[in-house]
Amino acid sequence: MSACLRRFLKKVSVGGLATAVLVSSLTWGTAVADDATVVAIEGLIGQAESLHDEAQQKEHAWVVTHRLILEARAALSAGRIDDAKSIAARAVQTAQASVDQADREQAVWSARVPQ
Amino acid sequence: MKNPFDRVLLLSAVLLSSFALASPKEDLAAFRAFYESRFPEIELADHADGAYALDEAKRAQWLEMEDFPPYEFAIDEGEALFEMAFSDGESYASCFQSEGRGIKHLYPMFDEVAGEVVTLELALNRCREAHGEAPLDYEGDEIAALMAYMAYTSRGQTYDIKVPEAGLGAYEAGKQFFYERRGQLNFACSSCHLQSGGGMLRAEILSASVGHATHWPTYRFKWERVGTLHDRFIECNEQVGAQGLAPQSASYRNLEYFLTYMNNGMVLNGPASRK
Repeated sequence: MSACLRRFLKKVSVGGLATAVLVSSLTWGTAVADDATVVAIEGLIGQAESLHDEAQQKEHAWVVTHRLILEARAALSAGRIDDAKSIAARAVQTAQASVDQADREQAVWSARVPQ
Repeated sequence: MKNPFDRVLLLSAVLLSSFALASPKEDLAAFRAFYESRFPEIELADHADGAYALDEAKRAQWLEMEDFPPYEFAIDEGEALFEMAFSDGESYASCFQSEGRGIKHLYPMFDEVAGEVVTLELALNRCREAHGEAPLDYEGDEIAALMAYMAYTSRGQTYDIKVPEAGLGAYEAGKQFFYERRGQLNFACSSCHLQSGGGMLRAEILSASVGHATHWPTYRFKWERVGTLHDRFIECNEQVGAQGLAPQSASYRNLEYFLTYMNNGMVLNGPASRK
């Protein structure tokens, strides 16, 4: 085996080993994070649903919240974890905003009545 | 209460609550005065034609269309449905005064026994149920056609909706709904039709709320069908990003009660057509 070939094989095996270590660590990391993240995302979706229900009872629910909850569930089912997480967080925000709107309007609507 | 700041706060709260609890008559006077001041060149009665009262070109086109109105079929269909006998041999006529003709302007009314607002759609379905028939879908074509016929027989009648003592709660709830902001766009009914009435929303002119309840049901070209006032409530709510409520829900009936009271003194001109 020529010295040139030996150097090439060494590089390939070192590179391959490094790649394998990297891939396995990433995969291992993702798999571990997934379990915790999935639970966290389901918690966010549950929180959004609970707030959305409250807004519906107050007749102030927003269309976008319902859509975001469905999208977050679909992204979670499809394994698109990052999408699911960000969409669920947005669902919580819009649901909270709709509840806040309902509460605020109870206090301020009368200021708009012509006198 | 020694602190003068506290006194001012209390006085403000009392004043604000007294504004909110103005009597229906005071509300009506202020509502009419608002539009008379905003549109001094337009007769209040003309607002029954909605945005067509505010734009001459659109009015001319609309009047041309009225020669062959698109709601005409619904009136004929509604008349046939109205006269159709129930399985017990009775018909809608047996449930209403004047056999159901020329009475639409009396609705919505507050039923003091039931303690709720009764719209004509609700009364029609209660009539059906009393005679062993299944209620009609509130978003369906049949109830819209019946309403078109009943409105047609009531054309020219003047609104004089009553708010008895027992109905004040429902009236106030409808008023609050009208002025409460909703949806992701944070709009109230009043944002578009009172605060911005007469302004433009893209290519559309925002109509005044005075006269909003006189012309229903209405053929809307974007719907390609005749629909009821509650169909429009749902659409309006959804346009601002709010979830619409169920048609004939208590809140929508209360809103209709308030809006129709605000039409008192105006003439019923339904069914109508709108873009």
